[in-house]
Order: sequence, then C-alpha cells, then structure tokens
Amino acid sequence: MDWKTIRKTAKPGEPAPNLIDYAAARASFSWEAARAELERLPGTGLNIAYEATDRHVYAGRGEIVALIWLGKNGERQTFTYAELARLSNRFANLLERLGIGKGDRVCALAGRIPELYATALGTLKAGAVFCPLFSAFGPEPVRIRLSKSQARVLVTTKALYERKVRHQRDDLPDLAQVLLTDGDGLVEPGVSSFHALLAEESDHRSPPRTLPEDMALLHFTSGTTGAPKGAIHVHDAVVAHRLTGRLALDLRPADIYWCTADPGWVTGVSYGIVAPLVNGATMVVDEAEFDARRWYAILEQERVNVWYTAPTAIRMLMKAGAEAARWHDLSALRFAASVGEPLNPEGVLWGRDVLSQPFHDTWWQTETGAIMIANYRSQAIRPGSMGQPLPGVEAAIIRRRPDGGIDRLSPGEEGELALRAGWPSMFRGYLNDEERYRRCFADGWYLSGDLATQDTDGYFWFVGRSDDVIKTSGHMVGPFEVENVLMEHLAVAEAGMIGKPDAFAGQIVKAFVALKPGYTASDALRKELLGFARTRLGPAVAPRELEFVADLPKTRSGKIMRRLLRARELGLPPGDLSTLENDETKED
Amino acid sequence: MNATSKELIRETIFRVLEDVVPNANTQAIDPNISFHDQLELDSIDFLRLMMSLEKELNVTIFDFDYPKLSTLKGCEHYLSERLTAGV
Repeated sequence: MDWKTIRKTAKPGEPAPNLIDYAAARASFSWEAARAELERLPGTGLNIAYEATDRHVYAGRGEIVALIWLGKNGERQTFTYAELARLSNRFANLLERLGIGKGDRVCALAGRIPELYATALGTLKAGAVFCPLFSAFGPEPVRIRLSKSQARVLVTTKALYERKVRHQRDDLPDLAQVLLTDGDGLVEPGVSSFHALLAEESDHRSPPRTLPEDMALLHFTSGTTGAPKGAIHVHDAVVAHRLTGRLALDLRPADIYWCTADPGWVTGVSYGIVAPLVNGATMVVDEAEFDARRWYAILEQERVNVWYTAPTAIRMLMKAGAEAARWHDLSALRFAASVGEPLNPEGVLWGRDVLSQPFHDTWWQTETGAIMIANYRSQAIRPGSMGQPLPGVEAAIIRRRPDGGIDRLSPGEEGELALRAGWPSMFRGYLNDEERYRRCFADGWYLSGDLATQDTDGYFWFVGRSDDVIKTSGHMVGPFEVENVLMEHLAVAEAGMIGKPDAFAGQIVKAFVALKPGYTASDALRKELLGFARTRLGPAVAPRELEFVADLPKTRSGKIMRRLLRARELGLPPGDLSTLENDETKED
Repeated sequence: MNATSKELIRETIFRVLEDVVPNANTQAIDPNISFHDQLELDSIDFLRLMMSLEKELNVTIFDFDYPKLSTLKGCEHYLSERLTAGV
C-alpha cells in the first residue's frame, strides 16, 4: 500500500516550530554555533549535569519543576531544578568521599525511581561515568555489564541486589560499594544505605571540572558476536542532546515532556534525562509498567505537550482501541514522536486520527548518542520513513568495498546507512575494545549496520539489519549472549537465536536448540530450557519461544547461519547457500 | 460459581503463567502481590498472559480492565465474574 504524505497545518495558538526552515537550517548550521548555546564552565570545561541543572539555577530558573515523578502506587512527587541540583551535588560529594573520581564507573540498576536521576546527574558532576543497567536484565547480563564496565559503585534496590548481584559479588572485584535506595544503615560490608550516606553530605559543590572529551556515559549494546560492548560517550554529547531536543522533539523551556523509555537504555538517558533538562523542560517520569488507561490519564492530567514513546507501546495503545483515547482531553499535546524501531505507517496515522497528533518517527542508535534522522514538526511526514538528517548530520547509503573503502549509492538503491563521523554525541570507543570500534568506520564514515534506502527527496527508509542482532520491544539483544547461556544447560548441544516477528514487540527472541545424545525433545524439556534461560537472562533478553531441531545450519567455518533459521521460520527463500556446511535441520 | 469452576480458573491461570513465565514457581505466588513484582513480568509477558487467558477460558478481557488482573487474587475475581456473567 502506498501511504500518502501527511501535511500538517498549525493549530491556532500553538507556538511556531523550533525548526521552521529545514533547508536553511542545514545550510547555515555549525556545531560551534550549537555549542555556543550552552553555558560552558570556566575555561574550556563542559559538563552534562551542570548544563542540565545548575545552569538553570544560576539563570534564575531554579524554581521551575524539573521532574514530576509518578509512583506506581499513586504517589506524585515534584523536584525543581534547584532541588535536583542540590540532590545531585550531594551524590557527587558522596562519591568523592567514597574515593570515586574522574573516569570511574558508577552503575545504576533500578526502576524509574527518583534516586536514579540524582545518581545519574551526581555521577556526571563528580566527573565519574554513569552506566545504566536495565532492571529487567537477569543476573547474567548484569554480571557481564558490571564486570566489563569495572564498576566501582552500584546504586540499586534491596530486591534487585538480592536477586541479581549479591551471589556473584565475588566475581566483581572492582565493585567497592553498593548503595541501596531502600536500605537502612549499614546493611553489610560493601553495602550501604543510599539515603543514610546522602544525608551526611552538603548541598553545595563547586562547579565540575570536566572537559568536553572526558568520558561521561557508558551504554552497553549488543552485536552479533561476542559479549555486549560498552559504548563510550563524552560530555560534549550534551551539545547534540540540546540541539536534537530542540529541533527534533521541538522542546522549549517549561514544556511538559514525557519520554516513556526506561533509563536502563540509551533513550531513557539521552531523552529521559539529559535533553529535556538541558532544554529547561519539565519531565514526567512514570514508575509503573505500561497500562493504557493510566497512560491516557497521565497525558491528560499532566497536560503533556511533547511525548516521546515507542512502537511497542503505540501498538498496545492501538489494541486498546481508539474509543479509549476519546474519553480524555489530550489537547495539550503539541508533538508526538517515536523511537526504538521503525514505526509502521498504521501507527503514524493512528496518532493523527486518535491523538490528533501524528507520530514523528526518529532514528538513532546507542553509538550515535542522539537523534540523527527525524521527521520534524515543520515538515510533511512520510509514514514509514525515518525522516531526514538533523542539521549538522550528513547521512548516506553506502556499500562497503572489499578493500575497506565505501561507495556511496544512488537514491532508491539499498545499502548500509552511514553517517559522516564527527558529531558531538558520536561514541568515542567501545570500552577496552579499540579494534571493534575501528571496524565501525570507513573513509571517515560511521557504518551503522542498518540497511536502508534514500528517496529522491532525501527521506530515509529503514529496510533491516545487516547482522543478526534482534530488536525486541525496541531493545537490542545479541544472539551470542542468549546462545551462551542456553549452551550451559546439560541437554543443549547447540543453540541459535533469531528475532521472530511479533505483532506488539516487533520481534521476540526465538531459540532453536539441538540436543545432546541421550536427551529427547519434549514439552517439559522445552519449558525447562526456557525457564533456565529466563532465570539467568531476565525477561528483557530471554527467548520466549524454543524449537528443537536435529542440527543447526552452519558455515564451513562453524558459524551458525541464523539468517537461514530466520528464512525457514518466515517461509522465505534461503538465499546464498554456498557456505553452508550441513543441510540437516529437520525438526524433531 | 461453584468450587470446580474456581479450581478450573486457578488451574488455567497457573498453566498459562507457566507458559509465559517458564521459571515461575506458581505454588509460591502471593495472591495479593502483582505478577510484575513477584515474577518480573514485563508488559509483553503480561499481554501474552491476558491474551492466553482469553483464549483458554473463552472470555473477553477488556484492555482497560488489565490492571484489575495484575495479581492472582484480582485475576481470579475478574475471571470468575466474567465466566458467571457468561461473556
């Protein structure tokens, strides 16, 4: 079906878009000018948390509400910019007293609780590195990330600590302190109460002493092979957070803004903490899980102006029906955007018809740190398209050459989406893996691993991944991490994972397992293996389906051909089989 | 609603839960604490639970009623009422 372009008309009384003339903004853009919009620290210093909190306080905006926190049991708490500045000062002072300084990693493993925001901002003020961990990770992904990040401090809750960390503390020699947000007093050696320690600290702190290229954020992401990679971001990323918040999300001071992403992932940090605060907005944070009725009530009662959510949530809202939205006054909503995976055209139009705001899809990755391609408020939307590159971002469709160089392709040709290196929020490395970082670049371009096309008008269209990474509910899952865990079960000889299309999650993780001799496929064993994986990996990563096969298709060098498993699952042609070693994948 | 039907509802909830959350110890579930807090159900798991219960018990669960089914007690109560009403 050919989806018609959505042309928008301004509603009476609404402010003009921040980005009015896209072409002119691109033509006149410079990152230096974007950088000059920030306050900066004395000398050449720059600090994300200073830009997010203190700058507003010094400019007389300290009493504006920075954070509206909605607890899952009906609580509502607000924090002004001044309060957030003081809380983060206290946490920075605490880190300093604990001997944590420049470059040290501080991890957070928690749901969307207020302490998480003080932790993130305080860590940055202390010059340390904030590394979020998704609370729905199981013990194995948590251990791998704590270990690889060499975390010195972990902020978490009692329940999460007991379930996911405590029994593996011996494997984490770098982890000096665990701070429990709901712990009282000293719990045990190496474990303390977050609030008890914070109460001893001062609200005051001298401005941070970080430089633009100092490491600030560490976000783990997954590839096809190997363990998850820690993508390094520096304080200079705040230049892009501010710009993209303003231009791609149309954020302005005192907007009520709701990003539904969890801060355990990059979106929840870049756009669930940094971009709204740097732009002086009031951000809504909801602790509860998705609930259609609750979400509409939040949009209505908090008078949300700008909403950034994800296709999985949009599809679940669509399932709940259009009638439900009509009970609510959503007239405050000025702009709605989506991220995580491509939003299907039906979702874009549903927003227009039901919320009176079409969803504007955006594209970016952990490695890019900020939105790179977007549908803008001032521009027509092409439903299903990723949109056009931000001012300051050059995107192209390329093909890698065998000699390591790249060729740029023409409009309409399918290839890999690439970005010219050098924007401020570009990742600066994978922690302790220089070689893997180097392989992401060619001829001065960052190669995204996403396949796409560009039309003659400059709009980009997502096609798929060039690797085997699975995207479930907008989160990247590396097949290797899942396969490794299943292989630990005594019955498993081989395991291969694919992303199986799902009406709500986009994809779910599906496992194909070949058993060792002496084991017989059965429903009981299937459940046992799924439970085994879920206990270790947690709901965010574990496979939701499992199928037994006699053997897995492999290349002659022994690599599992996941694309063949995928093709068989979907009933698609197998493609090039010249490297296939075996062809015995009949189901048990 | 007779005792057998209540047993059938509980047995069905446990069976579906074990399918959605294969590592769940259904016998140890506290009926008053949410599945999310006890079993780490995420929103996709919960959706699968709701849709499977609809299919297995041949009832309609309205999306806006989902929060009423977030605990075992709430689930049993809601499904009993729906089955008694014959919808």
